Amino acid sequence: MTTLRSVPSGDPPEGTGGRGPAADLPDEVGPRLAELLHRSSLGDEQAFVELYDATSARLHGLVLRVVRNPAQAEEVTQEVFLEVWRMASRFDPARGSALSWLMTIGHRKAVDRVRSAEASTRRDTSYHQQTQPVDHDATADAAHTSLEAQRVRTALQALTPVQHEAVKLAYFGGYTHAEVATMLDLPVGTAKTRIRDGLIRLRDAMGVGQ
Amino acid sequence: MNDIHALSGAYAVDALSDEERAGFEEHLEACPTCREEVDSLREAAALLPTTTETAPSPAVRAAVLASIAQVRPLPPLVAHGPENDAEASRSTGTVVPLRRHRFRTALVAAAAAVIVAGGVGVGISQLDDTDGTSQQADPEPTQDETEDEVQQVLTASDVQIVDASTTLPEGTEASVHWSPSLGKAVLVTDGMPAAPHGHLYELWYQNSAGDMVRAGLMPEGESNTVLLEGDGSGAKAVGITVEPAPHGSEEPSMPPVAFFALEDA
Repeated sequence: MTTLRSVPSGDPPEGTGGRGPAADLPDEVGPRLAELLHRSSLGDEQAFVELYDATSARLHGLVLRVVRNPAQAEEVTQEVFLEVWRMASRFDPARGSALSWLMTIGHRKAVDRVRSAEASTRRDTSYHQQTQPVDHDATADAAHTSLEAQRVRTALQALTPVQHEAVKLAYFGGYTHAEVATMLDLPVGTAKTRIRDGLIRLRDAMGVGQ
Repeated sequence: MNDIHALSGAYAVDALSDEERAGFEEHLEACPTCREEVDSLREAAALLPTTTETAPSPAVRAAVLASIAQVRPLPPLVAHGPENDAEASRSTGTVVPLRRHRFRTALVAAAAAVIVAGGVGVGISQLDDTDGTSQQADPEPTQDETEDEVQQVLTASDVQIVDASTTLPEGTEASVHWSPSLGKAVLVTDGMPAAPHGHLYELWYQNSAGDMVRAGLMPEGESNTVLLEGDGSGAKAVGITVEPAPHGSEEPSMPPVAFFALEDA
């Protein structure tokens, strides 16, 4: 290597995890996941296994919360990871973290699943009874409380109750903002604002994404 | 802040209807501020599942690992010159901007959504169905009238020539001449391979609601100049799919083999 390199500007060396309060995932695991994703895109199955093991509980937990039916949720999780494998080369680190990319794919697939299932069963009550064996908040309560989960819970307290509820119904319920508006008895068109404001507060409280 | 920007949060958590989603994605192409905001809000949303972690059963892991062994990862999107992008506009050799690919992905998704939604039988499309399907197999108004309309489109003052994003083999040239003011499009092909046995090519407009609307059938032959049937006003894209002969399908039965993203004048 004979190329000239600029002299570091006196900043302390990177590598201790960067800024931000202690958390169990973001600072070190993030780049690691991006690296695994990159290697997966080159066909490295071992890297993909590692990626799967690092992220499957979080992804599946999300899918299960949205889809609710355990057997269907496992199908969706499987589809998601296959999609991640296929699409790994399309991940663009400039646009966000690997984890966010993964969760975005997983969330979309889970929502697609519940919406298409609903379209074919159209408000059949027996269907709803059958597929809602999990009590809304029991899932969250039973979840293990990692340090990061604690931080998220704390950050969520910065949201107004309506923002919190709107974000939850949209994200975990898979409902559209128009449906959320009706469910929360909000004027038409305001649920989208609540969702956006809630996410902004969460983002800023957690110090992610910019 | 106008209304469309306010959809960023709902978009980030998949809380838009298909129609809103298509509209917002179009907006995103042109709005870096919204793109950044969506990215950052997705980052925030991705933290929510920390509270619901649940490991899938070992069977899922085994199934995933077995299936990836049989699936090839997609190649990266390349900033392509003509020689390494068989899908791009071979006729003109122009560099196809990356965004067309993104649109294409969106279109595939939209088409897939249409297929999924197909069972519901919601027919908002303005398909001119007066004659049923039989009329489609044999394109007739008179040759002359059609010829005139083709000429009108090709010579319209606002005509745009849109190249295909296509999965058809190298050597296939396909472009759409699109006149937003007439709401009509003409497809021009060269070197088009024959459809698989028992199948034909069917044409579609993607309307402003994101639905795929039948726009007739392609005649056989590798070189054709075809006026798309029906009213394309406000159409956002034209697609070609492979469908069973002789009548085609009411809805696309698979993702398009070629796409043409139309832009408003």
